[in-house]
This record gives sequence, C-alpha cells and structure tokens, in this order.
Amino acid sequence: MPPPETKDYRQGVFINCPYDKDYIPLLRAVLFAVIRLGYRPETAAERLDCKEVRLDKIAGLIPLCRFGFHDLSRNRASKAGEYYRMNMPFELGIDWAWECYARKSVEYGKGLPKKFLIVESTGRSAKAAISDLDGSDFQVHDDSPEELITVVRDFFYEYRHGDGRDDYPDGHDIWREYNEFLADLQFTKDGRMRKQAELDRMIIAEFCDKVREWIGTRSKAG
Amino acid sequence: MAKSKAGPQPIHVVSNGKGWAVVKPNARRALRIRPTRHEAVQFAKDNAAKGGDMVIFVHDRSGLVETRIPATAAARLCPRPKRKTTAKVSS
Repeated sequence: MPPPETKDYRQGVFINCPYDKDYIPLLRAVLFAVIRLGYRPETAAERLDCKEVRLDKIAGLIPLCRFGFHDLSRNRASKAGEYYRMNMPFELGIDWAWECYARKSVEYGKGLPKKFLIVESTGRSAKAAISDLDGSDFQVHDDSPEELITVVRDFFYEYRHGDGRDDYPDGHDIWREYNEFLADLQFTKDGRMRKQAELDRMIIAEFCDKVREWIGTRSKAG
Repeated sequence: MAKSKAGPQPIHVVSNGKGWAVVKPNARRALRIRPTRHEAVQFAKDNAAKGGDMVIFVHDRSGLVETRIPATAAARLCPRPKRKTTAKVSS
C-alpha cells in the first residue's frame, strides 16, 4: 500500500454509489468527470476477483484515495416491501472512520486530509435519514447526469492549483465532451449503433479504459 | 474519434440545463441554444444542409445518442433554397 503523500493517493477518488440499473447513467457521468479532471476513480465493483470479499475490497481501496464520492440518493425504498439501501451510508462511515483514526496514526501521519463529496438526489432527504450529518453540506444532483458532472467539477475546482492546471474546464465543457464520448462509444467503426443493454453490461474497468483512451486521443488531436 | 475525422463531421444536440444546445466537437461555445430539443434539431438540420458532409447526433438527457440523422437525410428534410438565375444579356 503506497504512503498517503504519494501522487497515487492524491489522485484517488473512492466512488461509493449504488450499482443498480437506474444509477448507470449517473455512474458513467461521475467516472467520466473524475477521469477528465485528472483523477483516478476506484470502485469496489471494478475488481471482479471472487475470492476477495466485498468489504475487504472497500477497506483496501479507501486508504488509496484522498477523495471520497458518496451518493446517498437511495435512502428510501422505491416501492412497498423493498428494503432501503444501507451500503452507501455504511461505506461513508468506513471512509470517515479511516480519516478520523487511521490517517492520523503514526503510519499515515503525513497524509493529506481526506475530502468528501456527499451527494443526494433531492435536498434534505439524506439528512433526514442520517441526522448525524446535520451541518455538513450535501450537494444535489436531481438524478441528472448533467447536474452531477457540474457538482463533481465544482468540488474538484478547489484542488486545481495543486496540479498546475490553468485551463480548468467548466461543467458545460465536460458535459458536452461526455456527450461526444458517448456518441463515439455507442457507434462501432462500421457505423452500427450499440444496444442500450450492451452498453449497460460494460464493466466499469473497461468503461474507464475507454474514457482514458478517448481523452488521450482527443488531447493529442487538439 | 477517428471515425469523426474520417467520415462526415458530427453535430451534437445535447441537453443544456433547461434548454438544448447545438454543438460541434472541440468547440468551447455552442452554435445555438434553443428552449426545446425539437427546435435545436431543426437548427442542426438547417446547419447540416448548408455545411455539406455532416451527421447529427441527437442525445437524450442522460447523454446517450437517441437518434443519428445522416447529412443526406438532413439535406432532404431542409432543402437549400434554389438561387434565382438571371440570364446574361449581351449588348
């Protein structure tokens, strides 16, 4: 495990969000924005090694990431009889605890403090579910990938000077690039349009590779 | 990226807050912003009909392409107005 002051740690973003079908458009948008801004998304779902327990994956990723993206949108069951999802608040708690205890330990004493971006779909609903977080500022995305990209962009704006970037894109820039990227992703070289199910099945690691490849090609071209 | 350069030039109709923007790749500013997607698509068709080898990608609110309109179809839907020809009179 690299020490927290390394570049890897400074660029790591732990993505804590739902992985259900309805959330896929938002997840894609977050991954694109994070990579576009020069950071490295880390998700537990990215690693498919079955012998690794999910919780161990999460515990292994958190120390690698200075930033935490936590989406608490699923704080309410969508229909009668459905359980509401507690994974996201639980993982936020682990990330928070790591910041409070482990990072300040002798081993991680020199690490930069962690930064959290906590989002929800509508204002106040998550705080109603977790009153311990009253006083923290949550961001709202209204279940809109466009809005979420702007939220992510605004969050990382504060840290742009550290990386020496003066041409920082605004939310509209990233959103439009994201649309162009999706158009390139959806159409194969022979002009066939990929089906929605085909795109939804794409694993996160592959999607991230395609984003990096696309951004690399684009920056070389222009 | 490669296919954008080799083939027809793309124009994208994308969500822009409460409206819809018509954008070209790599452009920092939108060609036009319209209140409805229908109006934005219409503007893109007009633009494609004038601009030659182009293809219009109409995106949905999630960013995915919902429809692709080839340049030939755009030109057919929005034919260029015929110029009036004036006969030269020799003196």
